[in-house]
Amino acid sequence: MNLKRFVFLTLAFFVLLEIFLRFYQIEALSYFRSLKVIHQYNPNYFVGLKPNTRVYIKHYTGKWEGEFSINSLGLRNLEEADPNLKKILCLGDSLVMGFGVSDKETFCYLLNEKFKQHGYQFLNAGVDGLGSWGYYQRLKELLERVNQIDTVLLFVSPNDFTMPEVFLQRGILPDDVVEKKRLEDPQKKFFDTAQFVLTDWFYSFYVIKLTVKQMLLKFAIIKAELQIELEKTKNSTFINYIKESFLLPSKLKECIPKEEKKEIYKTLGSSYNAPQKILFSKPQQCPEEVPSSILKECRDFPKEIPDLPEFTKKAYQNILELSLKHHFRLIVVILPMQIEEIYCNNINQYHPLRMYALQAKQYFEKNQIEVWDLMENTKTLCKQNEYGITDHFIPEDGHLTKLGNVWVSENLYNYLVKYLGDR
Amino acid sequence: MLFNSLHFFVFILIVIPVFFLLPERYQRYWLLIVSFYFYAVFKFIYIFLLLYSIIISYVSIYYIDKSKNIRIKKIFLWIGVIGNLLVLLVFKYSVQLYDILNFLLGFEPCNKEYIQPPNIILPMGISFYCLQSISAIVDVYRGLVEKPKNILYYALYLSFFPQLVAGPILRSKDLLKQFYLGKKFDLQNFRSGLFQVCLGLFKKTLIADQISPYVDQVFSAPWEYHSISMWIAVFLFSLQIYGDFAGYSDIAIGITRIMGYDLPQNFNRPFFSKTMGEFWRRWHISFSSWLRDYVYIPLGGSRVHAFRMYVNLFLTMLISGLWHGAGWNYLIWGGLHGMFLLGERLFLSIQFIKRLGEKLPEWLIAFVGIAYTYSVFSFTFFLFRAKPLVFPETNFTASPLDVGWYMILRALIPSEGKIVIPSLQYFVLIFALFIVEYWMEHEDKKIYIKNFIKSDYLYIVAGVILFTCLTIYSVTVSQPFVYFQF
Repeated sequence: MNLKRFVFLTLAFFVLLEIFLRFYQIEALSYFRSLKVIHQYNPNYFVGLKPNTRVYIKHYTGKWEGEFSINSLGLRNLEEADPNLKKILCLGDSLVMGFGVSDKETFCYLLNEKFKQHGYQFLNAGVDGLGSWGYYQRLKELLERVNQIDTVLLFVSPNDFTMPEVFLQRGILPDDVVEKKRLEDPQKKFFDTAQFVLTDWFYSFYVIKLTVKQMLLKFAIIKAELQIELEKTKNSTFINYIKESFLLPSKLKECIPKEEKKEIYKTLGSSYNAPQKILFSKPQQCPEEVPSSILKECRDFPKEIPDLPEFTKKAYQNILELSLKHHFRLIVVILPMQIEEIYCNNINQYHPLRMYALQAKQYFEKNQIEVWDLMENTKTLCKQNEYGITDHFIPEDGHLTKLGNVWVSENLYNYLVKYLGDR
Repeated sequence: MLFNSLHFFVFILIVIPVFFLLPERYQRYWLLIVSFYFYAVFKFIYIFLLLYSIIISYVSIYYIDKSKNIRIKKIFLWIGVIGNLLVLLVFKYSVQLYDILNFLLGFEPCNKEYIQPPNIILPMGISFYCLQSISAIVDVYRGLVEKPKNILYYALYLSFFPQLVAGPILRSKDLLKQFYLGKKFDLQNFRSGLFQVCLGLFKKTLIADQISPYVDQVFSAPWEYHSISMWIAVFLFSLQIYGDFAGYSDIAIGITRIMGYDLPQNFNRPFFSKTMGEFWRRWHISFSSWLRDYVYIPLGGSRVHAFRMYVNLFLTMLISGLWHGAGWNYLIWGGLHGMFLLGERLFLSIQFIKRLGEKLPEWLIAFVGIAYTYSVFSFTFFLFRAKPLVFPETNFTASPLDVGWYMILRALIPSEGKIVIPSLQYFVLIFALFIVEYWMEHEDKKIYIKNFIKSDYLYIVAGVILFTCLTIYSVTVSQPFVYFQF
């Protein structure tokens, strides 16, 4: 094949792919694409939200769907900053931004609704993917554009500077590590920027990037699953292995009296408005029993807590300096974000995934910054026969569900009433 | 491993180049190894079932071939056939056997004595390779084919990965001998195979999988939907199952063609059929012809009295229904098809209808025939696609038969509810698919396809389809093929 023909074929491939993808809105790809189009390149913190955007996002397997709007300042929700009101900023990553819920379901929005009448406006400054350095840059930018910032609630996130081992193995790094690499290596910054912009312009480039990333991730997952299957064969006798392989737990045939069977025809001819499906786990007892796989990882609290990474400390230091310079109050909030740590916390034990919170808490308390640790209230994540811990988080995703956001807003409300009342 | 998965993409990128790089005498060993690997990925333990079928069938074939005594031949024929049917009975039909046993003993689920059936997993592909084994044994018994050279060839014939889990159900005369010869890479085979693979992926991933959410939502809560939605769901399901199953066959045939083997076609554009009889000659051909040769003809076929022939036909369709699934709804589905086949034959044998057919313009007959066939085929899916459901305000699980019947009533009695409207772009792709099929159907139009396969455009279009599919598999969980459950 000569070069000319090869170039022609490649170009034609890209053109056709671009046309095809834009025409044929494949649900799964549309979901990822809509996540892409709400973002834009930001020279300071790499990825921000695209101002004045409004899209409806629908997860392709129905895990969540909702309105995603961004105002002119690049803040979630269309409401603009009111120059006459004192502002309280919710600063954080995706968990603050409200990944997985609609605009009006984010906890920052819910708090805004509650405190507006008291003269406070809550602004959602969360952007997914930000780390500590990103928070600093984002805050700096907003301080220049928004007046009367009274308080900044800084939500420390588990993946700002730490990452569970299983994700590290899959090549997923903490946000601060990625940001540091970008700052230190201009070449990486250039490539990251070029890739971000090109994937924004061309659907086909975006899809190629997505595929490569997901493939690497999938292979890491397959490897881990194979290991689990191998473990299974090792730990089981041959007969048991065969039984487990072919026999499922027995499904008992139901006894249905004949006259009851007719009940299914009741809805014929009508439009049946089925009651909203209740998907909550309905736990029989509270606090819930700790699953055995998690229980074995629960332990006593560590006596010594390591220092934060230098890069993270520097970012926090800069935020502290901003608070002095611009006279706003900084409050650090730690949310229960990983079910493992919540289960262990409920039996007054510690889970290694909680280390990030302890580290951040230690740092800020040393610097006399108030820390609101919502982990203290995790027992209220369970209500007998209604909902349990897992109902607050999107499965296999970990972001807060609508219920999770309500829980956070209610708990923060109590802290805020006290805090604002004291002043 | 599913054809529509990342794993398979990588698998095939290794299997085919290595196949051609190996000396010809080792190619078959390579295929055998990778076929077992392909099957083991579903679940390692399934391999033992496959080995069981290989051994019992080969031993039967060996003695049928070796023995001169007709009685011994017959004994081994039955050993082989029953040995394979036993796998199906245990793994596929045990629940129904328990149902029958309970019925005979007069036990109802409400009785204490009721014998609860075990919940056994249905291993992938047994419905296909057990039938394939039976055909191989019977063909040797009938003297139609020679015994395979050795057990390794037989093992490869049964486990050959492209057709292992969802057919086509191959006859030993079609495939076995092809393994005796080595294969060399051939660009023409590659191009034509690539075309077929892409056509299959297009049908499966870009049509069937995209339609399935619309079908699923109606079948998972029919009481919420309008009568029209019931019809939309079944009409869409016919397209979905066609995309799904014909897509699988296309991928299988395409891959084998790239490797230089030739498989007979399994679907011959069934949606152009004008009668149900024609439909069954075009749909899942390898299975219909299996039924014809190993069920219908042994029952007496068409060489008997007309009444007996109709009974044979009906029985064959009942068996076809049962093969598709171990449930009473499938049995009735098969029965319905049987009834339409009978009715159709009777109707078309009326002199007046025959004469009318000669007078009417061809296009009108084609239009009415195709619309009738598509409607009947779709209508029967109410029973076929139904799954157990818990209806609102009841606290029991309705059986697929009850659900299917409920949906038929809901489709016929005007009922209020939500209306399902799939996006327009799906129809554009379906339309594109039927244009391609139309060209393939007509001799004078076939040239378009041939020219396309010869041109560089093939690579561009194949690249787009392969890449889009790869992307979909990497971001989602692959949708299993509908026919895997049978």
